[in-house]
Amino acid sequence: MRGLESVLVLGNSWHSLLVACSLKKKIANLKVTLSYNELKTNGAVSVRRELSSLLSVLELTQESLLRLCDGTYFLAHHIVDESYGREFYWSVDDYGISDEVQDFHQLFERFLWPEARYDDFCVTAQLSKYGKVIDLQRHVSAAGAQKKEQNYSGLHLNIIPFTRLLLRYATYLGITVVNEVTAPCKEKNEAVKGEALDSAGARHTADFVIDASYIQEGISSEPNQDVHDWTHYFGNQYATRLFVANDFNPNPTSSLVFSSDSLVNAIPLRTGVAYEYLGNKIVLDKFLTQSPHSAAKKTLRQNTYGCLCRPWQGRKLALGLAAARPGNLLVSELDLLMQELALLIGLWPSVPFQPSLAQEYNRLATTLYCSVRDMHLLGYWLIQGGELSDLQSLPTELRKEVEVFIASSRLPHRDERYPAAAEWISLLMGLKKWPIHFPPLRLERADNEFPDFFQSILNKVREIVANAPQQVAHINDLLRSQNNHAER
Amino acid sequence: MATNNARMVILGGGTAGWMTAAALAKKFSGMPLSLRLIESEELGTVGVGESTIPHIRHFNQFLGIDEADFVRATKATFKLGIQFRNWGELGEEYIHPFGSVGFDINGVEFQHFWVSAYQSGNAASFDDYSVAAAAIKKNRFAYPQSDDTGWRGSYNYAFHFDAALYASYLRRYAEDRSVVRLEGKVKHTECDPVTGNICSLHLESGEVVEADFFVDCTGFRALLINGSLGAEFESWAHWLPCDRALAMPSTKVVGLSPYTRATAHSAGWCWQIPLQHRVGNGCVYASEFMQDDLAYQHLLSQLEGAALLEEPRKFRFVAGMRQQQWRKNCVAIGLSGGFLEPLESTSIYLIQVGIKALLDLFSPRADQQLLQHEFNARVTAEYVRIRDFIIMHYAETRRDDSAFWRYCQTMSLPDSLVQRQNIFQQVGHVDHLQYGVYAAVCIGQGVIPQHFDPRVGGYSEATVAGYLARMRNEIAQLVDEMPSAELFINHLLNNEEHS
Repeated sequence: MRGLESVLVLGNSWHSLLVACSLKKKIANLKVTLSYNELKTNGAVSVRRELSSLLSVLELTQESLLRLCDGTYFLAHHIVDESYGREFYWSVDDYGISDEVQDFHQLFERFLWPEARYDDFCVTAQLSKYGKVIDLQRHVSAAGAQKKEQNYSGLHLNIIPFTRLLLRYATYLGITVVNEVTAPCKEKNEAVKGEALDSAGARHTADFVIDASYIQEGISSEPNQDVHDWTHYFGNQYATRLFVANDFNPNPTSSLVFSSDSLVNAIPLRTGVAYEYLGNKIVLDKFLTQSPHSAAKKTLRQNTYGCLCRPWQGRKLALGLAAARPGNLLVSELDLLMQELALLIGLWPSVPFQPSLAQEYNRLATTLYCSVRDMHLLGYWLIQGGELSDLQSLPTELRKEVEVFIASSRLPHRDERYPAAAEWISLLMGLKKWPIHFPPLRLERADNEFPDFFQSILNKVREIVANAPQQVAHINDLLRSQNNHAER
Repeated sequence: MATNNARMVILGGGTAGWMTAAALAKKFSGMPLSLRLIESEELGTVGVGESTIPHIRHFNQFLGIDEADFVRATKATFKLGIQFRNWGELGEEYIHPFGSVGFDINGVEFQHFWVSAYQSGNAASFDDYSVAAAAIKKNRFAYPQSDDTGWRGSYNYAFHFDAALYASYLRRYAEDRSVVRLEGKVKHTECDPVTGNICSLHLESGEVVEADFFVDCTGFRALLINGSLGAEFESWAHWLPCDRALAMPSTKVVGLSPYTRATAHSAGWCWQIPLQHRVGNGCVYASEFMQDDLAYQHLLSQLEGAALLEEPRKFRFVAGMRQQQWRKNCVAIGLSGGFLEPLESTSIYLIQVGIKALLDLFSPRADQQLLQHEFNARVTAEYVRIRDFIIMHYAETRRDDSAFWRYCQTMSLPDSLVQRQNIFQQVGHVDHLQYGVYAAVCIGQGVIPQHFDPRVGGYSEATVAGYLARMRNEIAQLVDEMPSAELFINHLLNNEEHS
């Protein structure tokens, strides 16, 4: 038995580039070959939960990555529900953290519901609301608890410069990039054997093959590969992407706008806004016909959702969109990909391959995909009114999440939950799915002291937000200072 | 169930009963909930778990108990880990230390660096990279500093204490917070013919105690959860064949040791737990492989010159758990819900698991069936996790010197354990719930991963060896500064007396 010496990564987008770079960066003596046929796409990619891992791979600071990729800061999603006239800012940051009780949402429900807004008690949600940003490496959270070495801000990146950056970095790291390969079918077949031929006929071999392809039409379906199809949970969706240049919003906040028949995800970048539209075919056809952005590339594709039952089979592993499509609105493709890579590194194989490693990876990855899928389905269900009578149409695990939360204000036990429980709860609370019953709550202060307590939290949040710079000004200052530095 | 002023009765007043009463009294103080505990002085308690794991500190902190006061009242001593002797092989020993072993380097868990060094002949024993283990080897103790990101904050501690004194201590605590204690024995229970819920307990005295919700802390008797509600017991005896225990206290003959000792014998194992005033001794064995009198002789031989303080008490048990620890309007906490031998000192921890789930989920007005399901899922997951961990001590052995160990080597294992062990053996991967502890025990048992994290390959042998050597030196320096465990506790108690 020997260690894995070489890997062949297949792909056509930033996904495969990031996989190749991550592996090469983490495992210096690994020979990485990238079979890469770039699929020209534009738009944005967001990273939030896994930003520090990404920065570590790229050896960049957050500011450098933002500058190089036309980025903006990503503090919270603005979720707008046009059908029910609701909106709130959904952040991964703490909501009204309090040392007094473990769960702020229980205090909130008892004293503030239904008049107050849950997101008023979250610093990053409020910063996002007012288009501001602060140095989140070290900030004082709402109730005064000192945050250390945590960073709740993420980034929105423009795909084109991000892809170029990765490509240059891959070359810098010594990754062999095979630009021209044989026909796709041949490539797939050869790849399973760990081989790829370039246009000059040179043969590139590897111990292990990772398929990180961006596949428009859905996850790969190969012989002997079963797929969990989740499309029926999401409904029959079509999607299109659009990048509108020079449309920079002075208050750059990503928004998810739900209406009765469509969903628009708008991600602000420094040079424009990347839109993703989802809806039924009639609505999107109409949109494409009537859109004023005639120069934009408009292609309509049917969205499918699901995951491979066994993303790791033998010596081949599928990652990213080649393995799963559990939704990308609330958990980004990049965040998910970094999670998958962490799983793979933790179970790094040797030769000959041991089936138990693949089995464990497949178990963990499927659990991860289901958790992300459920987060998205929860969002859709809440937006569509969150009627308990509709729960039967949801996957069992998710149904249990909702039922237990409503019954007890707690989330049920789950082996691997991604994103974290606090994010699930803030999504539920933000979209006003309150628990019906709370466990009896014992408090360290008298009821009549709570108005002052809540007001003090609000005051702290407001003070932080008032003293924070506007994001646009902050980014411009950052770019100016870096340009000055470069000139010097 | 009544919507206002809910009535709860805890049946049984041992460690589980009074821990439950204290926690409920703390959490629901001032709330419309009446709490009563029924126990009988005629019935003995098992006095489970003199040895604990660090989670007990969280429980005491939740109650707001002053640690020095607790140490004094329960004759407690500090515990930094468990010493295992003769488990992997006769003559071998290792320590399961509390806290971390080594430090992660650039996001890579320490055990991978250790495996790399081990393969190149540059590693000391795994537990040598733990502050707790190093302190155990020198009988030292000092409080860790939780805000220190270096070695001083890298370890953790628990306690050995007299479980009967702990129950008494918590009884005072609970009674001070409005828990009403009733003396008496239950003659029979009355259930609602329609719902099947327990309505009332009829005591031998003729008193009838009604309640909306019941907690069964009656130990192995499981009077309510099994006797009244018929919750089935799932036996794990085929994986954990030990089914008897002898327990007896002895005098102290040496200074205090900050650890529990678990010494394997030919058909089970013996424990030694040092308290301030005595030593707790016990012998766990499989009756199929060892006669009672032989176990008794074996236990006596472990005393090392100490005098017996009481005659041994004998326990019979079957490893396993109730499939439903919350059934109808009754929750089982402690031995009435399940039993796992105390090899990893988890008995009181399992009580805490039940209490925590109850505190989280008890909500008289909510859908009880949903809460039951969630409670049972949480508790079962934790029982199964600990079950697998304990089985692993028996399964990962090279001992073949007795029929018992030969059985352990060849017995079938739960699929969950087989998978976890396969993964650890191949790549040293440990899931986050077991991180640290699992690696220490696996490696201690002699299971060395074949491969390490590929990122370690980026470091030269000399660099890794240098990291490890530096860690050992720093740990040794820190431990040298610590007082002896005996001195530390004497100082703590004397200061208390003066204050």
